[in-house]
Amino acid sequence: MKEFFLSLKALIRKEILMVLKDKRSRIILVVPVLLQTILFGYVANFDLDQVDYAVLDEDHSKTSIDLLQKFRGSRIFNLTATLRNVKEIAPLLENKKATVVIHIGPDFERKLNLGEEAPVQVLADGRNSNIAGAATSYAENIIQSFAQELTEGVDTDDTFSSNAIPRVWYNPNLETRWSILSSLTFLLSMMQTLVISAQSVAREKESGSFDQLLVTPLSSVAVLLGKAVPAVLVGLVQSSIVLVIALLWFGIPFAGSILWFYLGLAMFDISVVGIGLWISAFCANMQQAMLYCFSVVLPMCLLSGFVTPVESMPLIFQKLVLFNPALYGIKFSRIVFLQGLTPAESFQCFWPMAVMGVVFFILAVIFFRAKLS
Amino acid sequence: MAGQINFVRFRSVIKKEFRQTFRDRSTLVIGILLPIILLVLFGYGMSFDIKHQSVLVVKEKPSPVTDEVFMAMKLTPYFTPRWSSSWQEAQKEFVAGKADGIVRVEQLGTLSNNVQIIVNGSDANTARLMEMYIRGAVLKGLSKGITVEGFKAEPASTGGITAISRIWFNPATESTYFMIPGVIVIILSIVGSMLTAMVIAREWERGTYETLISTEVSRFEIMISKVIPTFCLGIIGLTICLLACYFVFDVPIRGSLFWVLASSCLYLFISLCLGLTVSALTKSQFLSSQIVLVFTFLPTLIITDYMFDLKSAPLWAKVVSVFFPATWYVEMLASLFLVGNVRDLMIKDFAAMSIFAVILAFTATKYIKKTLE
Repeated sequence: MKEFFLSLKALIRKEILMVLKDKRSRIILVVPVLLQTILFGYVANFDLDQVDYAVLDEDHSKTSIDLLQKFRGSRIFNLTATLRNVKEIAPLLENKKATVVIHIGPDFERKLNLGEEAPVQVLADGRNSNIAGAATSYAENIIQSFAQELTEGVDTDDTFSSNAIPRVWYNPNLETRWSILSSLTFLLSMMQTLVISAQSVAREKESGSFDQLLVTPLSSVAVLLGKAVPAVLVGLVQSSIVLVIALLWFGIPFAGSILWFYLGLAMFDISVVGIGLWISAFCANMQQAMLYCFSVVLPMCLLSGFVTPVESMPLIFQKLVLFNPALYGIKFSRIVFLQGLTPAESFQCFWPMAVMGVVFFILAVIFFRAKLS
Repeated sequence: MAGQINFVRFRSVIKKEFRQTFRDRSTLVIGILLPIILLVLFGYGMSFDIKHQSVLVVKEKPSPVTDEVFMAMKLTPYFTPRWSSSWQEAQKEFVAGKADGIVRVEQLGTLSNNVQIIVNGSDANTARLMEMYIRGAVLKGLSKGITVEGFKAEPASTGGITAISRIWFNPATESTYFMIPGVIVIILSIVGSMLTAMVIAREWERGTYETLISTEVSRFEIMISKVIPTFCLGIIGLTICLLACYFVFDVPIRGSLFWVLASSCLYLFISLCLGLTVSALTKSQFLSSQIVLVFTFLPTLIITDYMFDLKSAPLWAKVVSVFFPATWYVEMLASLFLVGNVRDLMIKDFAAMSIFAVILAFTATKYIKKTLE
């Protein structure tokens, strides 16, 4: 047993050297993570802070001017053009000169005074339906609150009031950045860890040194463990970079236990590396390893709940993603990082990662042995 | 040297590259299988809207208003409401992660209500949508609850200002309308740069580069011959996507098909040159695969205007996005699909992409050296 660990130690040392001996590899494992975290922290933002809008006021009445004044006073809306006729709307939206056009028809005030319905049109650029939806609902809110102000002055029959008090727990200002960065601690390291583990075997296969490794007294379990450890370490370092930036640069509070968080990270990295090694069993060269990794990592990333909620997926997908370690990783990061759940409460996300880590590793060992004999 | 093509020689080099590319079945995985996987994921699996979120409705004492709110929520596709007997109980369940939101209606007087809403901000985007939809459902339920009790409903507003929103180019806000063009961008980025990233580095690592440069083949010929087979593979992927748009997802192509193809070929060429440059610069398959992995997928997803709104990002992030060719291609493709031939945008985007193409083609040729240092 002692011999096993001694030789394993030597092997791990060799593997770490192989990954880190080249200065350029050290750079490529650290710098992109750093840059991406900062960039995504600022860009990946569903909060619409700025909406460019244009105005077409055919009424020019006091009411219409008052209404438009509300838009001008809003922090979000930013006037880019004032139109004179309906024909100007289409080219404006098509050329992305504005996201929203507010159109007030010619007899707006007259209709209002007659007690008729006085419509205000909100036209939006639907190329990105998310942004369009959010922008129109902001505009509608402004129009509605203006309408309310108007009627409140007239209508004394105010009998109905309801106060909605929304509260957002774990993220009081509802910043997308918080959820994105907490997820990135897991997700960013996933890609490169997977590729490192798959490539390290493929590289030896391609250069022919894998056979030499196999004729050493090391068992196939030890060989694969030697490949797994450096990749897991790289994953942990990368996650730490993201974590430090999230905490210190963006000032996101860490609610849970750091130790538990790292245990979860380690489990996650182990399961990812297990998949990587499993893939590498099928690969004869680095190109194959790369392509198969990518075909696996894309669905893992897209179906993890990072981009879209899991509950909205069709039922088949919801069943399929139960085998996706990234699903548990992201959930784990959210509940431990942002919500601060205790190990007992978050165990439901922890054990699947652990089980998958073990299972994929065993699968990798089995496949390697099968290929050898 | 560059620019000289001897056709007899060129034909045999091309033949060699084609054989080398298509001999390995893994290229078919990325050329055909990956587009299909992504189309299925984006077309069916991912939806930005929320569905089936579990919400606890607190019912401390029998109240018709609360019943109506519960029913109103049940009638939407967004929620699966459940009853909870007390405020404390509900919060406990919420903290344990068994529910995504809580609603509690407190009747202050006969006509005045306090509505408390709690949502989980650890997934900010879902939380935002949930809050919005819960408010809507509660308002609907409340106004109904009041008529049920025999009181007068909210003063029926005949007349007054109404906001009418129209989302242009995608009136039904079908998410596939902007997801599927995005898939094309992702596929061309990946297929283009991933395979080419390996080709020159592989020849370096295997030592066959020396053989290659000892022949009379010019740098330009090496570059073109490396590009063409992968280009064909990318075109296969593009064709699959376009066919799926037309036959499966009913995504309209309102602009001219010619420009869709032209811009796609140009972008594919950019990705190819990018991959080649990386490959020639690093001379290492491991490094170039890491670089390509880091700089294609997530940036395409996040930094371009595709998913998130760049207008809300800080200025420097907008500046960074200018240097990603995908930014321009996303804009051009989205407009061609959903709007039509918008001349000014097309000229701008196509010009920007052409600049990238020229610069990258030049650097790729430059770094493909015919010496061995």
